[in-house]
Amino acid sequence: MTTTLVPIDGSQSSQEAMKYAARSRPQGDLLLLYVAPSARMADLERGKFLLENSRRQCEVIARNVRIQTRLEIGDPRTKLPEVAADSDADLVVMGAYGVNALPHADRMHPEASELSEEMHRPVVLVLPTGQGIFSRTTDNECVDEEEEQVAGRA
Amino acid sequence: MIPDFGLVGNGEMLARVRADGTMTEAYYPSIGFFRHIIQSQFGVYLHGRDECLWLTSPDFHVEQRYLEDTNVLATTFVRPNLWAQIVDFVHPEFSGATRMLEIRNTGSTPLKLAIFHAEASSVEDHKGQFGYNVAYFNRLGYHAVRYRGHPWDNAVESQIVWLISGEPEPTSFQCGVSFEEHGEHLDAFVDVRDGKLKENRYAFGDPTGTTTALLWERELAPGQSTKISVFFVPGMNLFDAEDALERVKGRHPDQLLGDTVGYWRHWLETGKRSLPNLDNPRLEALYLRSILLLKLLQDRKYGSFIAAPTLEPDYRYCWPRDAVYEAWALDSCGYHEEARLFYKWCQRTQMWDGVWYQNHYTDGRRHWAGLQMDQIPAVIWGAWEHFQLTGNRSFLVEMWPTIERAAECVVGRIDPKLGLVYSEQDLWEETGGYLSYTNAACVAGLFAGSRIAREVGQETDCIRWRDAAERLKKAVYAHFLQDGSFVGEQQPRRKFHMRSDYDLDISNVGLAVPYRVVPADSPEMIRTVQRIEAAVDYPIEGVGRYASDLFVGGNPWSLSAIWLALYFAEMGDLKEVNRQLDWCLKHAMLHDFLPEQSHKQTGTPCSAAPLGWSHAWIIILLQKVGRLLRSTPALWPEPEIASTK
Repeated sequence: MTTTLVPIDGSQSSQEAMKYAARSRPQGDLLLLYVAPSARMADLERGKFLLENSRRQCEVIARNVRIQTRLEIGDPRTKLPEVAADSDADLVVMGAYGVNALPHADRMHPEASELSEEMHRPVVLVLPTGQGIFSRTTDNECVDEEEEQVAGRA
Repeated sequence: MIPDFGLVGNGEMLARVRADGTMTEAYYPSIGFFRHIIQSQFGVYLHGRDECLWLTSPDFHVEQRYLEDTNVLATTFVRPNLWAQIVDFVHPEFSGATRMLEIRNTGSTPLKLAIFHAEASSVEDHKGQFGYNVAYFNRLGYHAVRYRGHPWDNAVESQIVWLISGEPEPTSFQCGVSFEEHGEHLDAFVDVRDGKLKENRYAFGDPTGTTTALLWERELAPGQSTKISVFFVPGMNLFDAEDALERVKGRHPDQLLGDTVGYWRHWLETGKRSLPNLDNPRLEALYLRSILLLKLLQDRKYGSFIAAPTLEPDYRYCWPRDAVYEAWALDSCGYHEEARLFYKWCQRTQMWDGVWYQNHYTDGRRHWAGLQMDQIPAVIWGAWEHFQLTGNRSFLVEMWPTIERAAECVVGRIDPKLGLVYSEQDLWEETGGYLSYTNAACVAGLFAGSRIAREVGQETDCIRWRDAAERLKKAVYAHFLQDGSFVGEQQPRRKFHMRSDYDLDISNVGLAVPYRVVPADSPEMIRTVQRIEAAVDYPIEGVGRYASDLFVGGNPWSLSAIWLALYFAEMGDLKEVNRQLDWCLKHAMLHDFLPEQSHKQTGTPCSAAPLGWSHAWIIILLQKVGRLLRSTPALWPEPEIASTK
C-alpha cells in the first residue's frame, strides 16, 4: 500500500495539491498534515478546521482512499521531513506556493522549493491551477515537467 | 523566512512593497482588513532587441530605502544602460497606493521601449486563495476595475472595488485570466512579453483569478528619463472608488508625493524632539523608524493598533496589551493624541464586566473570545502613564467608568484562598494558570487604579484597590518566589498544555520591568534573570520565551532580547544592554524592522514582522539608554514602584 503525504496550509495551492493527490492515487493511504506555528488555540483550531475540511473533500474525490489527518506544532521546514520519514511516505504532494501566495510575482514559493530538496523522497509541487510542476523522483534526479511555463512569470 | 519589505500607509490603508519592488498586498478599508493580494510589478520591453525585462529580475541591482523621515519608499533598479526608480506611498488623506516609476536611459544610444505594469490582484483575499475575481477595463475613465463578485454585476454590487489607473494615460491595456497561455484572455503577465497588449476588456477567473496590464510606449535619448505613475485606488463600492480616483488624479503625482513627504516630516518633528543622543546612528535611525512604523500600525479612525501586518501568523488584530505598550511608546515621544485615541477605543470595546477579549478587529469587533487577564490591568496601568505624561485630569474623568469596571474585574477575580488572579490564558495564548506576569500586571494595574481613583476623588475605591494591590503583591512573593528565584506559574512543575514546565519564562522579567512589583536589583530577581539566561542556548545566541517553546520550532525573539535589555538598563548595566541591542540589530530586517523571531539555526527572520510591541519596547529602551548615557533626568516620570509609599 502506498502512502502519500499532503501538507495542508489553507492556500489555493495546497488545496489543489490535496485534490491532485486524491485523484492521482485513489487506492492508497493519504496522510493530510497541518503544521500549526504555535500551540495557541487559534492556530490549533485553524489546523483542525483545515484538516477536517480537506478530509471531506478527499472523500468526495476518491471514495476508496484511506485518509488520515495529523496535526503537528512547530516549524514546517523541520516537521514536514520528520513526518514524511515517520510515516514512510513514498510520495509527497505539496502546494508550490504557501498562504502568502504570489504565483505571478514568484517563480515558485522559495520554501516549497527548498523543502522539496529536504524530503529525500519523490515530491510533486502543485500550482494553483492544479498542475504538477516539478517532481523529484530520487535524491539525485529531478524531472521538470512544466518548468518553462513557470519560468516566464518573473 | 520572510523576504525583506517596506510598508506604506495612512492609518486607513496599509500596503507592503517587497525589497525587489513588487507591491504584494494591501489592507483596506482598515489596516487589518480586508487583505488584498496585489502582485504589482513593472517591466520594460526593449524594441529592437526583442527583450522583455521585469524590474524584479536578477538583471537589475536593486536597493530599497525610505525617503528620510518618511513612510515613503524608494526602490532603485540599475543595470547597464538603464536606471529606474519606483517611489511608493499612500497619501495621508486619500487612501490608495501611488507607484511612481522613473526610467532613465543611461546608455549612449537612443532606446525605444515599452514600459509596462502588470498586476494580479485578488480582492478581499483572506486566506491566500484567489477565488472569483473580475477585471474589466473602463474605456471612459481609462482605468482597470477590480472586484470580487459576480462577473455580470460590473462591480456595482461589490463590497470593495479597486481601480487601477495610469498617469499619463497608457498606450494600451490588457485584462486576462491568470495562467491563460492563449487567446484573447491571455494572462497579462504573459501578454507583456512581446511588448504589445491584446486590449481584451473583460476577464474573470475562478479559482486562479485575473490579471491586468497597462503599457506606455516611449523613446528615450541618451540621458533622458520618463515618469509614469500607477494608482491603486480602493473604495467601499464602485462609485466611492471612482470619486476617490478623481480626487487623486485631481493632483499631479509630484504634488501627491510632496504632500505625503511633507506630512510625514512634519509629523515626525514631535518624535525627533524626544530622540535621545545615543552616539549611534543606527540606533537613532531605529528609534525614528519605530515611531514611524507604530503610526502605520495604528488605525487612524478608531485608534487601535494591529500587532503586525501579517497573515502567517495572523496578527492583523488589536491585542489590548500590545496596544497599551504601543500607545505608551508614542505617548513617551510626545504623541498624546495618538495615545488618547487608543484609550477611546478601549472605552468603546470594554465588555460590561470589565474585560477586553483576547483580540479585536481594529474597529472594535471581537475577534477571539479568549481571556488573558493581564490585558485588563494593562489598560489601567497605561491610562495612568498617559496621565503622568500629560497631566490631563479630564482624561481620567472621562476614563473613570472604564477604569472602575476594569479594576473591579481584577479585584473580583482574586482567588480568596490563594490570593492570586487566575488567567484562562497566558500572554503567549498557550496555557492558563496563576501566572507571575499576569499577577504582576494586576498588582501594577490596581495600584494605578488606586492613584487614578484618588485623582478623580473616589477615595473609597482608592483605598480598597490599594489594599487589594498590597495583598496581591504579598501573594506574588508568597507563591512565585520559589527556591530563591521567581517562577512563571504558581505550580511550575505541574502538567501544562504544550510546555514542559512553567518555571522560567522571559515574561517573569515583567515582575521588575515594566511593572516594578519586584525591585530589579533584588537578589531574587537577579537570580531569576541569571537562570533565564542560562536556560537558553541557541546556535545564533539570543533569548527565547522559554526552553521548551515549540512556536515555529522554538526560536530566539527580539522581544525577549529587548525585555532583558530593559532589565539591564534598569540595573544600569549598559554593557549587557548593548549586548542585547547588538543582537537585535544583527537580526533586524531591511529598514530595521524587528521580526518576532529569528530562526535559531540560520538567523533568518521568521513568524511575524515587523512586530509592533517589539518596536514599542525598543523606543522605551532607547530612551532609557539615552538617559543612562547622559545621566540626564527622565523626560517623563518613570513608572512608579508598585506601591503607594
